[in-house]
Amino acid sequence: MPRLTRFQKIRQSRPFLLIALTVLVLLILLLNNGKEVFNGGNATQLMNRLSYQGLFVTAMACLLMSGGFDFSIASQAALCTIFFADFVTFYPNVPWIVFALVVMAMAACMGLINAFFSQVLNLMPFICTIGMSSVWLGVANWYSRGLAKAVNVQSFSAVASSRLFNSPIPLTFVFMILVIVLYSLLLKYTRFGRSVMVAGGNPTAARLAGLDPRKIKTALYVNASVIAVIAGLIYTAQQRSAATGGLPQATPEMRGLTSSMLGGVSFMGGAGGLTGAFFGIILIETLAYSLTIMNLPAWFVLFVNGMLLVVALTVDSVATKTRMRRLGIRSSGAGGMVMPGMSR
Amino acid sequence: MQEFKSVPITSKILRSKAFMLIVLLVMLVIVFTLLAPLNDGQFFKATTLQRILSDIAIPACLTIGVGLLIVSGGIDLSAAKVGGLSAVVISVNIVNWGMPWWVGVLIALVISSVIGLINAVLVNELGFMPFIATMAMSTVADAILRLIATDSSGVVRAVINFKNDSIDAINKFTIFGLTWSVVLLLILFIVYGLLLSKSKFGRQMYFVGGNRLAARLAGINSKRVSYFLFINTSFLAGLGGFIYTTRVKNGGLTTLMNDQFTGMTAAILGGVSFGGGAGGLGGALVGLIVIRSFNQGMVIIGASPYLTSVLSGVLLLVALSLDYFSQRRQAKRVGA
Repeated sequence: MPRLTRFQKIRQSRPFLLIALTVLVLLILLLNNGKEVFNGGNATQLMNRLSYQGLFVTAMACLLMSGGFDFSIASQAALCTIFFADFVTFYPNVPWIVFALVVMAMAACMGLINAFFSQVLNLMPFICTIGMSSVWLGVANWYSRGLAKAVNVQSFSAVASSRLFNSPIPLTFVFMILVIVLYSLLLKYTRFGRSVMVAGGNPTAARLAGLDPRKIKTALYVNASVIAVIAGLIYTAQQRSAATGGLPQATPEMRGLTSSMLGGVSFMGGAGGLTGAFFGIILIETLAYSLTIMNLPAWFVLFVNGMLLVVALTVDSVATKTRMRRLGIRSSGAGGMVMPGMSR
Repeated sequence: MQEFKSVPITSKILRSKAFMLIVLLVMLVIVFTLLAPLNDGQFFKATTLQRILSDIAIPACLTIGVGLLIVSGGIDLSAAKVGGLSAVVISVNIVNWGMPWWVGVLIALVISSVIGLINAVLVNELGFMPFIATMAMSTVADAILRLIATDSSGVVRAVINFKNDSIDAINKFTIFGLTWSVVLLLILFIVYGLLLSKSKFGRQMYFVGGNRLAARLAGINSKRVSYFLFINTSFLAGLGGFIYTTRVKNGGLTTLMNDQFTGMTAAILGGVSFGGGAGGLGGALVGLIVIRSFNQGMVIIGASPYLTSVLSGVLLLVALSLDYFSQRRQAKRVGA
């Protein structure tokens, strides 16, 4: 195999492809709608969306790398933010950060429940978290009777409305970038981060190397739930209300999944990095934003979202096959019937 | 080496999934009979049974399709959405397109089958994991559904109501005093049950589900099995959508969405194992009756629909856990 130069390496990397696609989408938008689409308000709106979606991606990508999956994070976030809204309304004298910590602890417990089902009872994470998602969303609907709960706390809404040095960049967006950088560094340079990859790639090898894949995955389920609630709180601060309809309808778990696959995180765990997933969500959100600006009908946006996942998966499947061929490994003939989490 | 003792027939029955489910059903009936008076209702009466059985053919279509797929180690999460799409196509045809109703039904069934075909191609040719592929196709089906439901002024109609004499006649059609859909349900269960348990093709589904590689080495064309099952699931879902339109006389954005997991839950409750390679349709039918009784009971005791959604999620998790424990017990028995 010939060695690649640094430039070739960058050009062939997934983030480069994703950035190029994003630029392409923006160019089409520019040609179609003119310069006014890029005024400050629109850009801020896009960054507002990215600030919670990016956090969901972080949660999901880390889980996927370890071979886990959580379909219920959006429902958890919805339920927790509804509780949060009631807390801050009933006890206006207590600073909201206290309740934020309380709902984060609640989310951690929900993450433990998912970890129990997938790690102790060995159920497939995909299916059992679908069940849990229906449970949490049902509880949230039951508790709130399907109504939105307003959050009228000045200091809390200020979180979403504050900007970086009078620029159109929201502080929450900066926070999201910081979180992604932090997690990338954790995954790359710490012992735990390294073990996440090993646990996802080959659980048996991980166990033989003295790691405990169950412990690692449990930590990641809890981590995913907590990040999801932080994202939910940012969303609540932006909307100034918490409701069952808002966040789950934005399907952040599907977006997290799609952008992770676009960014090269493998479904079977053990591959990819956060950088790719991050540029994946930027592409997805830019695309969704452009489609809305271009006034395309709702069904088309939905269609593109569905097809994007198919495309991402095809890219993933072809990339895996090419890698296998280059390494001289023949496919085991599992033929797509392998379920994630089957290799516990 | 440990020798296996032959198990007496009574303990075989006692250990079977169907028996466990019937016990569960009896327990549900007792609980709801005791709770119903709190809401000034009555559970134990003929109309309840009628209600439980009346529309059961709709989720039954999903249960048979998804159940067979799970037996072969696959899964289809798009079935409910495909059924909804079929219902919308049939309704829009009658309201807007003006073709005879049966042409609409044919188009709906063809569209459904094509989505099944795409699922099969994604899984078999591109190597996607079944539930991710079908999840994505569910979104695509949703998009098509919305496109079709959009009226000429560009508004997406949530529900499309229609009136059609032939469909009214179909709805009232009975065979030996039974609603035709109940008869159809029985025929479907018998045909597919026999296909699964008695035919060579049905045996192949178990082989493929149990060990795909071994099945291939034994000369079974597992791709053909997979293609058949994916198309079959979507076709049956489309049929379910048709039955739905005859009963309710509309189709809309949320049609069949309440039954999204019903097929899967019923099949797993009835002993179809998630690893593939085990279970039959008899258990799935009893599982479905359990779920319907549960839902009907919740309505009679006046529970919030949201609570019902919580408990149906719990039911899925319970079914999965039971599946896990029975698998573990089995593994212990054979000394694995």
